[in-house]
Amino acid sequence: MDRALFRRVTNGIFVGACGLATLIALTALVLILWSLITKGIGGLELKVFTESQPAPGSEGGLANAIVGSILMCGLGMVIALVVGILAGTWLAEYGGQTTYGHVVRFLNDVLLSAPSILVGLFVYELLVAPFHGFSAYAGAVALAILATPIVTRTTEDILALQPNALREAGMALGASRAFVIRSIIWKAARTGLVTGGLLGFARISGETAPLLFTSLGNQFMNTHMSQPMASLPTTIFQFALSAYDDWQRLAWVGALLIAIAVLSINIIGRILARETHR
Amino acid sequence: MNDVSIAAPTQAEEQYMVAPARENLVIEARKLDFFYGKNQSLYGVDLPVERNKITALIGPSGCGKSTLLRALNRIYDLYPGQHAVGRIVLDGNDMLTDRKSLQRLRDRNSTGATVDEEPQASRAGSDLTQLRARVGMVFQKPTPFPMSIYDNVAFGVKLYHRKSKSEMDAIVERSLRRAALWDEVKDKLNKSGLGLSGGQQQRLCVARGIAVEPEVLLLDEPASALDPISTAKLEETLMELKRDFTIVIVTHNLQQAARISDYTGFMFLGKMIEFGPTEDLFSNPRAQRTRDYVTGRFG
Amino acid sequence: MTALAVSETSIKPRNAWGETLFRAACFSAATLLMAALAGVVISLVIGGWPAFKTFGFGFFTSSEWNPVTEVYGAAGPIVGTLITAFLSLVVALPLALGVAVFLVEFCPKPIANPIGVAVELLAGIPSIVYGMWGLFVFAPWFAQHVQLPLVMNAEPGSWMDKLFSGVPNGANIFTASMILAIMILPYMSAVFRELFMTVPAQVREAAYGLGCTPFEVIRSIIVPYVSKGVIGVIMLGLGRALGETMAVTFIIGNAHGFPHSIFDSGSTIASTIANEFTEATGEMHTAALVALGLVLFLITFAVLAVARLLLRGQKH
Repeated sequence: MDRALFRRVTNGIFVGACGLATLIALTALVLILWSLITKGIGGLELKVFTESQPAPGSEGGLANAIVGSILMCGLGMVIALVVGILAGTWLAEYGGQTTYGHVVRFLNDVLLSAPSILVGLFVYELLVAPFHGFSAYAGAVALAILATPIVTRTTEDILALQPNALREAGMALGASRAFVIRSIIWKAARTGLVTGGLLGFARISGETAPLLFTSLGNQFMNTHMSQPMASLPTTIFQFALSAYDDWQRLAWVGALLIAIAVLSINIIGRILARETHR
Repeated sequence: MNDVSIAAPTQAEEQYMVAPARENLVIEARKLDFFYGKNQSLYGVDLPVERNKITALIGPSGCGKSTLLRALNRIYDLYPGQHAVGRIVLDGNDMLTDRKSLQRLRDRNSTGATVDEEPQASRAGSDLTQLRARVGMVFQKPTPFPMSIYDNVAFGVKLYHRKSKSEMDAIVERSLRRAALWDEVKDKLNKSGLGLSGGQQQRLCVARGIAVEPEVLLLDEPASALDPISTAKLEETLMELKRDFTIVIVTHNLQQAARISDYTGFMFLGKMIEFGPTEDLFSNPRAQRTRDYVTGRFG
Repeated sequence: MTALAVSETSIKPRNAWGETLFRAACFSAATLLMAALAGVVISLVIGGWPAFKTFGFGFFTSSEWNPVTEVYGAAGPIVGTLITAFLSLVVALPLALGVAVFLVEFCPKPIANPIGVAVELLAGIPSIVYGMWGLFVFAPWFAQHVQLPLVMNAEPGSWMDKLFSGVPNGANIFTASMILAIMILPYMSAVFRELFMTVPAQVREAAYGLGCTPFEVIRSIIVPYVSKGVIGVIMLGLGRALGETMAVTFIIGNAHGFPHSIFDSGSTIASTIANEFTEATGEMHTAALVALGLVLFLITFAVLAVARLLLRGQKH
């Protein structure tokens, strides 16, 4: 075979293989979404949002799990935003180039993709075992530990994008560095910071593993943060592995809800991010 | 009128200074060295600035004119590793008198390369916010803050004074008028400053700078990002402003320096080659390098 | 014009304190972040210590995991973790590379962008969704259409019999690996795509200008250009597969012994902890599970550290 033909054929095979890979990947993902929608949409009724979880064989919804998820993710995000934005600000504006700064950044990156179940173990040892009880607070802290690295990372990246001229202009008026950061730089980076928060929120709203031994779960509606609390992911886990058909159906509904929530948060974050870049 | 004194050329390069009378100076750099880390970019620069005049700094790019300007209000302090050695005197007070700067000056004196009297440590040299309140700065690219036009102008004032709403309104209006921007923005004071045109944004930055009533206003190539009409308007504004303020402007546009400035300093490779009244410097340059530059033979 | 002289009225006593406080707050937050990671390590070491002390090196080599007799050997879950992560990577890597290359090089822009965005969005879907799909859809289908025919047709004692033996219910190491692969696939594709797009257009154009085919440009220019990054992404994917809990727990079968074939049920470290931790009664059982956690942490930390170092070097 002459050289030119050989090159063309190799290239053709390669292009075909890449296309095939894309086809396989997309098929698998579409199949998953398809099952999720077909099995979940049927059970999506009003009582899912208004009634708490049923005993096997009776009617009920996921209200207690939804409320629990919102409460714990909410508290977790508050903690993560405070710590993450401050830490990201430190990396971008103050100590990012010091040795300590490099260590913090590296460990933040590691924490960013550390197995979430280990964070659950840590919070169990920290907040559950010493106080002899599972609690929603513990769950929220575990979620916060997972979201903080994301917020820190995006905060640092976004602040680094702000032009130095803006900092100099603020300082040239005699403002302190802290004041310039709070009243100018954070303002200029506002949408970026919100995006970081949304990304973190999307990540933790579907987390199951760290909640298993912190907030545990609760079959009743509960809004006391010092007690065990249900959450969508742990309830799905429990229902899906149960032997009851109606629980399994509810698990699909819950999975669909989580997927929709995570997708919409991510989409909003993307739209915001695009507007910042414009 | 001027107390004429011609300094002897230092080191290899010839250097000609025609400085204004000392009692008329508002800010002055004396024997200033500047370092970016280990790289020295200013060598024993003198810059006397007379009150209520416009002083222009010219020279080929990389000659250190922006560096000198940025040293005058110590904006370089933002970046670790950058430092100045020498003296910056504002109204008779030394501004480089924090402990580190004094130590550097002492070190330099001990090597004997450039010897200068050592100022006393003083609060003036370590209170940078006060220094910057008295020496304002406008940058090459417009830097409106992400807030309304009104808040942009009020930003600096709020740092130093508690003002009632009506007092603040008056200050904002006066500053915008003085920056020749009032008529264009008076109906949209609550709109974002980012929505203005480039020339308007730059005049907004001038208004923001003068709202705190500094003694000196530093401008770093303020017209380089502007179109000719905006540039003309900005120049006009500066000519007006010199009645109340002292202005130091870095420019790479020789015509601009000739048009608006009273004194001009020509810098080359980190040294002040020639400094004097603008007319003299352009019509009768003493140094060969200045002559080459202003007649367009290099740079 | 002196209405605003600096000496006048009320200069706020300010700045110095605010600056110090704010800076301290930022610094504390950064330190807290480090403390969190340090806390994870310390709590795992302290909690798992009794298990290491009692079982010594046998903890890693023995595959006997028996809560009744209080004997714990972690070889089963450790091997299970490594096998599933490795298998899923073998499947996901070529696919992810293919997808990324296809989207960056071959696919027309108007289609490439939506697909790229969709892939990125899918990377954010919680793993529990993948796990459920594995349990209710993939495993039964696999048992029915793949596992059963293979087992039926294998001659007893042949290599096929050994490789494929196991209860044909679809809950086994192989299916768990497949679910893991599907889960890390969008993630890896998304990062690969980002990585390939960092190659400057001029470099690519210069190569095409010499008459290279797309395949040659990718093999000889683009992949070498981002080679460190590619390994970094592989490590990131591996890190995710190693530590993933929910997608695996649903479907791996949760048997503690040493797996005998790829169709045998098994367990991973994460799935074992998820299943047993809240039900662990004896102190030693808890300690053994925490010790498992420490092993998982050490493995993933090593993998992630390599990944981050390589990806950091890639930036400019």
